[in-house]
Amino acid sequence: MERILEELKKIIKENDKYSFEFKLFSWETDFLRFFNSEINYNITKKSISLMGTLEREKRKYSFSISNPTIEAIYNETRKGLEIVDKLPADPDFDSFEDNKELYEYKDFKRSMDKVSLDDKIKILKKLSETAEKHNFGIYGTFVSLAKDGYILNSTGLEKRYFVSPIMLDVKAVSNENMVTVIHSFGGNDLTHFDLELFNSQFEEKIINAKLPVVDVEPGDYEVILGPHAVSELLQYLMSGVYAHSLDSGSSFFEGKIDQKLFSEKVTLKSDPYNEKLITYPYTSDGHLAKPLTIIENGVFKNFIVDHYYSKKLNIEKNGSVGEKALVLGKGNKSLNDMIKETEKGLYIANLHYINFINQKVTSITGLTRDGTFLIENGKITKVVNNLRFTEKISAILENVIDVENMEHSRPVSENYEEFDIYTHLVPHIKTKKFQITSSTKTI
Amino acid sequence: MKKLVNDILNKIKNESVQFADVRFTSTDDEIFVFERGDLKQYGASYDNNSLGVRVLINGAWGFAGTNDFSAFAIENMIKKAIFNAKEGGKFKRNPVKFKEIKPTVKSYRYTPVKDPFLMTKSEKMDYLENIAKKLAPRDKMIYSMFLTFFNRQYKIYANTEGTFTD
Repeated sequence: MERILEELKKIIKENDKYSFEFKLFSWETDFLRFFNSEINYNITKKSISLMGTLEREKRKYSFSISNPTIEAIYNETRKGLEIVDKLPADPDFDSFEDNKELYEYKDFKRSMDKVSLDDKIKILKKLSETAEKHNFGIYGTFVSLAKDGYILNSTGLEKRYFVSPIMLDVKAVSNENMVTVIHSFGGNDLTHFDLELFNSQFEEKIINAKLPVVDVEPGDYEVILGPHAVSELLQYLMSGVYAHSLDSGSSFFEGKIDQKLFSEKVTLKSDPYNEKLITYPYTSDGHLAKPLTIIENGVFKNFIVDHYYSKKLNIEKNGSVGEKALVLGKGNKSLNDMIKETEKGLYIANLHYINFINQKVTSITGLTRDGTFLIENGKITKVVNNLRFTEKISAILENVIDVENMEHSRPVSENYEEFDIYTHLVPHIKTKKFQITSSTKTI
Repeated sequence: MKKLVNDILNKIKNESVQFADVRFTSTDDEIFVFERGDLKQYGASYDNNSLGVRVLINGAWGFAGTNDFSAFAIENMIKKAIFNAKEGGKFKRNPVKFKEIKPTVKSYRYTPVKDPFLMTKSEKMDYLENIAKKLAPRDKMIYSMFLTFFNRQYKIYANTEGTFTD
């Protein structure tokens, strides 16, 4: 990698009529998938890749090379130099990122070296024993990742980029009726993972999942949303916080800076150095990651603005990694009290198959999953079939009446190509407004 | 590459596995993104080559993959797949049973009516830019995004049962 890095610097220096941006990464994962309380497979995958962009007079060409050799880099650069002048220009391009601040890493230890496959198996065996007591099987993934490399460009920016997270997503599925619950953890390592606590919370969910299954009628419900569900909603809300959506006219937040939009109990930050989150040291174009308040006591405060859009929209850039480090502020009520104070409502653990109906007004539709429960007279009394909902995220957050006094780590990941893993730190929330439109009549 | 796949398979056969397969893929991509009629991104990635091996040992699967084709990296990939299978056996109650399957030896190639990878870059750019300009905002339309993605993949699959396809 270091040899390639030196050649890339040479290319930048020798072709000073052009500007360049290079991203050179090695990427490795240990991807453990388990199924019905046994390992399905463990995949180890490694790759090295280079992404390059060269530019002259606002004309840009990008290439990527898998397992780059010095020869391939020079070949692709040569091809790029031949073609770039013939391309149409991007009138909005000004320059590449020029922030030179550096992140001070404590170490470069990879998560797969900190937590062995044996360690993972021990944890899974414990969770499996707990699930089995209740006639449930465990299903899910236990993934380690290491992304290490460099971002450099013609402005003199040169950053070492190192992220090495771990995530556990475990579902317990009833052998009797397929009722499912989910519990998760994500972090730089297992420092903040308490197996006993994780196991007991997991078991509590399983016990609730053994209750009788019922259906509910469509309508507006008072709802307690679990950390996974909250995190899903926040991801959709965040699509309107990026400067790109402001530019394209699709942002709910357009023209609403400093306006109170949600309950004052809602405070949302992007906090890349929160010790319970996976650390993202830089934005994708190499700006040092900076904390950013997005919503403060219900008031919208900031868009996420990168170098490109700061030039285009004439707004100061803020170096935020956005949804890669979301923290929804804690409240002052325990989950138990939130349930106790609910006369009739629903507990929804997770949401999926979500789609925007109208992004500009944050209206979405989707399904509940991984545990939907009926709350009656302050107690979880029944499992509810999975439900379809149609609601505005803004209405859900406007009507928040309680936020839990505890945060939960919720890892977010894709599992194809060279995926990233990041975390959200989110409490349960209780809202007065959540519209159920129908039942799927299935678990 | 067919020889490399065969060589890897033969190497794995010596490791007393119940079953193993080897995959090779070579992928080409091109992407064009226009916003409001302006080209925002034109990117290409050719000969993106990857290798993957899967082994079944004592009823447990192990996988490993790499895009580094050096002898050292391939050796490590094989070792890692075997390690993963052996470790996986520690949390396995129902060993995978694999029925014998009839080997397939075949080649297949899909030829598109018009192959974008055989068009010149300028031919593609002119064609797509023309569409993007027609979609550029006017009247009440304030934004348009036009994305084109070309992808092709060559794949070899071979296993210890005698299947060899590409």
